[in-house]
Amino acid sequence: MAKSKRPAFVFPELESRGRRTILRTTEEVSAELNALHEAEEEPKERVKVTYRFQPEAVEAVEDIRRILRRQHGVRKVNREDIAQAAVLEALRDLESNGPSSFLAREFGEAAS
Amino acid sequence: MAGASQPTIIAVANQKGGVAKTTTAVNLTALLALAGKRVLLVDMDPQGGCAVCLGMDTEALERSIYDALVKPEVGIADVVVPTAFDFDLAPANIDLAGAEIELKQALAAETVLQRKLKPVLDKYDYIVIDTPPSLGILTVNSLTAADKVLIPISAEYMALRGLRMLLDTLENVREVTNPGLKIMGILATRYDGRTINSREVYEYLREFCEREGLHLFPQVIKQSVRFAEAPGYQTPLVIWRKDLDGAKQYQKVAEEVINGEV
Ligand SMILES: Nc1ncnc2c1ncn2[C@@H]1O[C@H](COP(=O)(O)OP(=O)(O)OP(=O)(O)O)[C@@H](O)[C@H]1O
Ligand SMILES: [Mg+2]
Repeated sequence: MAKSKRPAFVFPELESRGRRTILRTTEEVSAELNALHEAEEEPKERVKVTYRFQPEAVEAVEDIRRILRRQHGVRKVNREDIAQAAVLEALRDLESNGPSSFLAREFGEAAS
Repeated sequence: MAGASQPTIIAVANQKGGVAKTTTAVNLTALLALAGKRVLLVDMDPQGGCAVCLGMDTEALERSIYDALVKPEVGIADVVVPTAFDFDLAPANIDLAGAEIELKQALAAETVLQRKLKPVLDKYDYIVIDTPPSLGILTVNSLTAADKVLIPISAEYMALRGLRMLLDTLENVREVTNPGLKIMGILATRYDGRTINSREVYEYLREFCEREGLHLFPQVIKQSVRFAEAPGYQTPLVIWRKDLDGAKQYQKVAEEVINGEV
């Protein structure tokens, strides 16, 4: 192959450093993320309802709280939060798993 | 990375236009799906190129990624559409051009896509994000949401312009919003071995990558008119004509991705 007389290939722009694209600091962004997080956690209004539990269910709520605290380091959870989360999860399970959900199995059998 | 159910999120990015970002994103996604992976392709470019490559009418979309990004009540799952190629698409259209301004008013605007993707993470093995030819908020969102970035560069002199600026942007994103962002590699596209220009650029890239500790995909994607034809058949090239060289080249790249070598 004939020797090329082209000048050596250089690309100075690849060497020089450009500008920042995100004109913000980590602190600014994380402060906004924290604000968002807190807004999400802001408790919705709660309505008082009364259900009667058997003693072992009452004890179970306490057990959950203890286990969360001791084994999972969860400090900010109360009995209402636990009962509420369990009910909402039960609904999700019922809706997505229908007859094989634990509620349908538990009460379906009891009814038949 | 956390649990086994976490997908690998790959952003295909380069602010230079026409370097085959969309072609790479669509074909890589199709190949990952073909390999049995559960894949979501997210189009973050208002040009809506991903949908166009798959023969969808972007004007007729009822909802697009735009809605998910700017409306609190709309999730990614609400805008995702299945494709004929066994992967999901979160399509974009020109509406997304407006998101640039609207997003800037959001809190932690750089992290909107990342936060919106959270609820669907366990549905996918890979999420591939196609980005626009700019370094604006849409690209920053894509890079913030990603684990890895794949940089296509067309093998021509002018395409090297701006690579440093892109690398600086990646460093900036790491610093501010996404410390874990990795560079998967640089992929030379539109390579024409008959021209001195292509060969020289590739050689230059090789040296540059070695010096900077960057991975350069050993497989180049060669220039082929077939790539421009494929969208006319509403099918990614790698599916439309598996036998073509271009398809085989992307297959090699996909294998490297799947094998986790990059
Ligand atoms: N290997 C190739 N050989 C020839 N043409 C190609 C190749 N890869 C892509 N193209 C064509 O080049 C054009 C630009 O490709 P593509 O849209 O993928 O680039 P892009 O980086 O996404 O562009 P944009 O920056 O506008 O989003 C398209 O017409 C495409 O068909
Ligand atoms: Mg594109």
